[in-house]
Amino acid sequence: MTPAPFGARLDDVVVRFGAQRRLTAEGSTIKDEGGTALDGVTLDLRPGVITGILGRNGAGKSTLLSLLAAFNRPTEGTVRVGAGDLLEEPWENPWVTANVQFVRESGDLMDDERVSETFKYYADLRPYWDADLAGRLLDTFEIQPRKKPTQLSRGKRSAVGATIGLAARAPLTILDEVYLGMDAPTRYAFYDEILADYAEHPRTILLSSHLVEEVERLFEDVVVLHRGRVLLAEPAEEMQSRGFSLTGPVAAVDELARGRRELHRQRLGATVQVTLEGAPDDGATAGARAAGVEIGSLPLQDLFVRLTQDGGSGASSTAAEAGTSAREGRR
Amino acid sequence: MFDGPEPIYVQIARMIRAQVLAGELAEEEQVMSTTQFATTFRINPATAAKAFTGLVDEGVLYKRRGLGMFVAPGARERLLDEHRKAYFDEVLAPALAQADLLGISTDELVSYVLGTNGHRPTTTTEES
Amino acid sequence: MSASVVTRADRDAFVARARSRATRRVARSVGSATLVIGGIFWSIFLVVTVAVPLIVRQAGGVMGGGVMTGAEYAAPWFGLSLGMIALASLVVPHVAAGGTRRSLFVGGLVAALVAGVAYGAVYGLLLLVERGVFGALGWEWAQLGSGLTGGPWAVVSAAAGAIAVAVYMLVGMAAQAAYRTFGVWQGTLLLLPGLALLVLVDHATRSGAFADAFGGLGLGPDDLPAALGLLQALVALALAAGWLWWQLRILRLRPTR
Repeated sequence: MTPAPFGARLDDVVVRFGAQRRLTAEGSTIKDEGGTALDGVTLDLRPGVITGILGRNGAGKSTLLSLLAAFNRPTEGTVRVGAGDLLEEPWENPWVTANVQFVRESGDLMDDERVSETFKYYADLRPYWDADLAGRLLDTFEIQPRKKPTQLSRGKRSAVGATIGLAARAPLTILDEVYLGMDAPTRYAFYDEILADYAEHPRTILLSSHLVEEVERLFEDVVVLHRGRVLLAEPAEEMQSRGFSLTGPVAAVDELARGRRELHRQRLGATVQVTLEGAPDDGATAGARAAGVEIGSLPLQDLFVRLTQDGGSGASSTAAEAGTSAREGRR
Repeated sequence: MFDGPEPIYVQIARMIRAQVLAGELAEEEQVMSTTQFATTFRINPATAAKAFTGLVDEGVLYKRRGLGMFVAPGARERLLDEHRKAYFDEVLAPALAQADLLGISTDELVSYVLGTNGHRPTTTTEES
Repeated sequence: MSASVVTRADRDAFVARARSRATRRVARSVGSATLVIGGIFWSIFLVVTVAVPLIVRQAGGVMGGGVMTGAEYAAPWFGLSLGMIALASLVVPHVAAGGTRRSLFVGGLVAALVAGVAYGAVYGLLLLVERGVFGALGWEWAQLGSGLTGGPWAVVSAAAGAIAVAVYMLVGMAAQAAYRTFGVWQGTLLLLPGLALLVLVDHATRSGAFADAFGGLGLGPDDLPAALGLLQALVALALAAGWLWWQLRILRLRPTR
């Protein structure tokens, strides 16, 4: 039985951390800087879809996601997670925590135990755990469950995290940069497993990643965070329509690009590819075809980089426009 | 795959239409499931589903409960009809306008089409 | 899609099941680790308790005090370090697997009580064994165990040991939680209230390291009746449980990067 997917809603959420010195597993101490990690986030996360959570390092992605799984609680504002009308605060609430699987890059395993022991723990706590799937994924990722996390490479540890994320079959599954250290074939195997399992067992999946090009087509919705705020939250299709690319001879491309805001430019000999804001009008389409210029889709990466650029002319107005539509998109 | 400026579901629908037109997908033949499509092309299943829904509405595909999506009988004929109509407006007219612009005379065009002047390229079924 | 409507009753049943699953699992994890490793600990003491007097006898010597003094001092600290270790390895996976802080607390408390009772019982039995060995060898045995007066001595010592081990385990878990929540400096400072609880339970049971250390300070009568002493020890247990809950209920896992 597939349980109903979980959605989430955040209202004016602020999270502040105090500075703290903490002990690492190796025995040294490291300093966690304090500061405001989230600064007034209001956001709806639709149930049943795959949503991409994008943002640069320190944008607040992990902090935001950790609120949904009650790893942490907001300093101000409210977070509610659930299915249907039963949206509730996650903190100390098994209705939320037992239905939400948050996987961090670190994997959150028992450090001194075999992977199989950690899996038994998850199996006992997770109501929808699929042990067969867990075993199959470990095979796929070539991980021996008899090993301890310390005996695994970073990529393998990530793969263990990925396995937990999928095998838990949680109505809200959160994968926070789970691909780190994986090589490209493993990452693609991971994406394929996500899609296959998601298609069979519909649920809500939040996926945060830096590798925007690799994952953008997995998303139905996209959220862009920047400096603890939501810059943009909308269906991927809408985001896609915010721009397009032109590839062709320099002179012809420049002619077509005139008067448009350029997001990115890449030159390969006599050929150039530019990414532009807005949609190509009919004239541009016809003109491009005549001049041997190819019109392509907007690489989300280019838009993402542009949106999250600090300083630089035009960036702020782009962000402001995007921010407006993010608010409209809330509804 | 699917690098055009239009939404991906539009491009998927176009690809399937092209396959039906070219006869690569025969009538009554089953098309890939949403899941297969999603994993094959690494796209969100909802995107694939949206393309399929559109094709069902157009009558290119039809759904058999519990079995999947199939190419509708007569789909190819209908698509051919539509494309023939569209060919003149969308392909030939701009080409002729361009010829006008470049000062290519009607005679030159006619002799090209008839193969009396040089060689006429073999046509492909590639969709525009 | 067959995403059926979730009712309030479904939700409540789900929550009840999730709670009991998580609590039982914590109790089992912490409890079994404590019992298995404790089994090794007590096996060593059993061997030593019997073997040392025999070896001494073989060498022609005479023992005044028994080996169980060591157990009386060591067992609670053993419990404390096991509490620290168990919580350290469990806390992050527990929260990540969807367990609440409450289930971690209740499971940990149950495990501490079970471990306490088991340790206390074995401790009481070994006291009797040691007394028997000394008696068989014709030596005089300086009575060990709890210094509480009245009541069956071995049972009182076992009960005192049980409560002490449970308190030490809970304080160990609380110390681990404090380091996580408050970091290195404040975490270390917060060891002090924990330490106070250890002194309190030792003093109440008139056993363990702190009872000797503080015995001369005149904190309370020398001959405390067993019932009263054990009651005070139970108060210390309740305070230790409260102390652990206070640490756990605010436990947050910060982003790791």
